[in-house]
Amino acid sequence: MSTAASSPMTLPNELWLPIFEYLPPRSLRNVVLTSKKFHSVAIRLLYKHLILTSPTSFTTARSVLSSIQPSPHALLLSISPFVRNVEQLQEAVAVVSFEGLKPITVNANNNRHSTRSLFSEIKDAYQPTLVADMTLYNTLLSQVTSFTSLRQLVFRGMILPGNFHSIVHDFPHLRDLAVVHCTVPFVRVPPDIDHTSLKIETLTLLDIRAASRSDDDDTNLPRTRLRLLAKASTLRTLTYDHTVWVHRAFTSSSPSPPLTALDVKFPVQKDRPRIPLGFISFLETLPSLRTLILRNHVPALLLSSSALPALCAVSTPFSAMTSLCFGRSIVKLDIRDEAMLAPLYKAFAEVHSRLSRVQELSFFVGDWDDELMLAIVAHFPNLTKLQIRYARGGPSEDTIIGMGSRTLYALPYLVSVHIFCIPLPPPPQNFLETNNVDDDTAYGAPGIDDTYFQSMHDIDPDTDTNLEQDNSNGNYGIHYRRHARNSHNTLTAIYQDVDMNVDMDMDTYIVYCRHGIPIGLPCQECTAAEQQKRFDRTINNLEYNSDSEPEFEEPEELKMEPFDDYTRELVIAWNRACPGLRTVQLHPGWVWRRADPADCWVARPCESGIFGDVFESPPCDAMILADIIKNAESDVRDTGWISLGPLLHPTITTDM
Amino acid sequence: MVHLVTSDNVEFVVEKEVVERSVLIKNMLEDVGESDQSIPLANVSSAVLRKVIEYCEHHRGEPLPSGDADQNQDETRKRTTDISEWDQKFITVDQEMLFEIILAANYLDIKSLLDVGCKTVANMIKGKTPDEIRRLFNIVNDFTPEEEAQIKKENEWAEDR
Repeated sequence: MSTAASSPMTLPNELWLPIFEYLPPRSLRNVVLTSKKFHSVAIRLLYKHLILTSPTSFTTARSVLSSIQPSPHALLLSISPFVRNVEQLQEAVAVVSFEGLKPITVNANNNRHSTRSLFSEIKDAYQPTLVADMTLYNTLLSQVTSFTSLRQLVFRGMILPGNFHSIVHDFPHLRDLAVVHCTVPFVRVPPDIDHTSLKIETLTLLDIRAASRSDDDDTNLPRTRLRLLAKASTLRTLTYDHTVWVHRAFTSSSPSPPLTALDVKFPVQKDRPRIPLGFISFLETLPSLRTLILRNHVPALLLSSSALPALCAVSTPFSAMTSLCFGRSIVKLDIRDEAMLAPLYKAFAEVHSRLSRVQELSFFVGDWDDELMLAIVAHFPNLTKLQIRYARGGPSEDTIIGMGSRTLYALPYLVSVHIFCIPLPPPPQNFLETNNVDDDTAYGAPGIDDTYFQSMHDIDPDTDTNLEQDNSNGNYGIHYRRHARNSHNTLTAIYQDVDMNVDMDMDTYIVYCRHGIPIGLPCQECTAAEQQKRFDRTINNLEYNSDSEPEFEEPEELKMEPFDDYTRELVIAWNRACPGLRTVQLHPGWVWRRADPADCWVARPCESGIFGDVFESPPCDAMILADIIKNAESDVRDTGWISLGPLLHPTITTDM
Repeated sequence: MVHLVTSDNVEFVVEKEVVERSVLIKNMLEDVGESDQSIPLANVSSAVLRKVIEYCEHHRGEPLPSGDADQNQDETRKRTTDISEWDQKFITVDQEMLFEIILAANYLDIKSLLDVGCKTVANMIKGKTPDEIRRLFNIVNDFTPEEEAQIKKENEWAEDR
């Protein structure tokens, strides 16, 4: 794309508007600064999606906020009042008022070092350093409640307002509500508010902390009261974690809303194999649920086969896979943790009849086994997308060459194949911080359809790193964090589901470039030639190209295509067996693509989608889905349940 | 077959199915009915129309977005700037042609092509400083330094995360 600085041509204002609509707040801010014309076009867009995370930026933006029309459609709020003795506010250094900053005097009794920070010396990423004084805070709240056109509201890393439960009713258009990394204040007399009238469709509750210790199941306590938000009768997508266990809000006498997507984050500890109380019976009351994501450690679920009749997309640890597949027609299957080969084959065989409709499959195995491809062909004839990650071994040269004609040809609908090695992280150095790799991926469940909302949850790489450390062992991050922020997210994504085995000497499996980036991932500072070298070393994992030295006469070219003609030929050969093939990935970070049959294969860096790829695209094929729904409805009738037909159909069309 | 005549007086003969991806022409054909008379496109040059027809040929048969659904989706519409491989290759042109395509897609009312063009320009803007954006589009900074400082301050929040 030429920059064409000399081009005198430009577009009329009404055509700049749809362009600017694609920009995130940061870019929009730069656009309004360029000229008066762009300012007038973009300023309203900028204030459509508002981020208020620091009391100081609220004070500077305030004059504009009250005049801006239309009022914001989305708000990310992260400003707390100063309250002593709340753990989340222990790092606060100054109180901001309209007059300015006032440092907080450290109370000797105020224990600034919590137990957690003593052990790990890790700062909680969501401990604000600046807090608001009461006047500023009250002005903020009344400003926020004046944003009556809000559709999305995110509270993140703050103390929730005391009147939180009534505030959420101030926004008649609110569809999407998220409360993440927040402390719930103690309220003496909890308000008695009925949330069933809320019109929210998407609710996210993650990492909810209590200001004071509380018993988990007393619904009068502030933290557990948050569960009641899920009673909103319009709710379709629900995401929560073990700090709230939202499903406990539902009992047989108060049925759950007709959810279509559910994303539950369990604790990481393996020594707690219990299913949380009420979870199974909750699942059994979700006849319209289509997408289910279970994160971290989940024991086998003893579900009745009539439960979750509409379920078609599943992302779960291996332990829960068979119980979820059994009796249901799964279209997307993602196994989140490391699967052992023998149990995996056994599980595939057990639920064989339920797998024939699977179109998208992804899983992670510790050891590569050539038999895997045969098993996939035998069990998944209708596959369109396949993703296998492995840590050790890898297909031999013969296997790769023969893969097209021996196995892939039997999968006629195949569009994309991702088979690649992800190196395991180096061993943790501190045993106190081991074995808890938290699955802390995006806070949205599929169905949250707005990337802006997701970008609100995107955390700055620095703080994100802290968060990772907070939740898990951060040691493996040290090697690269300083050098390559951009790679960080990729890495986090790679490791999020990997069970770290402390006894294993993982250094054997990982090679770093001189900037500390594990081989196989793009490094900002390596030259193209070095990148080439690194990729070739990864290619060695696949046991070919191991003797020849990489050739790189044209470094600029190599940046675009780091792979040799050999790999290209290979991909083309696969394509002959699978005419529909458009994407092939054999390495993390790089992917071969072609646009249409007349087009050639080109290697491109791929930034995301190493994990969860399966869940990023629209849920499933319309035809197959319609089928499933039809079956689901008849199943529902057979089992004597009330048919939810009218509720099922509109959600399909909106989610597609 | 439909006959189109561009601003530089070049006649194109295009299949009806292909050209009807343009809502403007589709409505025109519905109003007038089919005839051998050519449709003049005074705002589109032959170079641009050739590109537009290439796009329509490739995407022929795909469902047209209906006006209703579009309105509905607008709020929740996925604000991703991802462009499919073919489209990306198609839209790799110089800036003047890119703008011409956007103008033509807007005039001819081809929603999906307009989207591709807008996404491409948005991707060009992303990650650039105000100064780089000015250079990119040849824009003169008409703010006084004071105005610029004021706007910067007011919108500081957009830098926050």
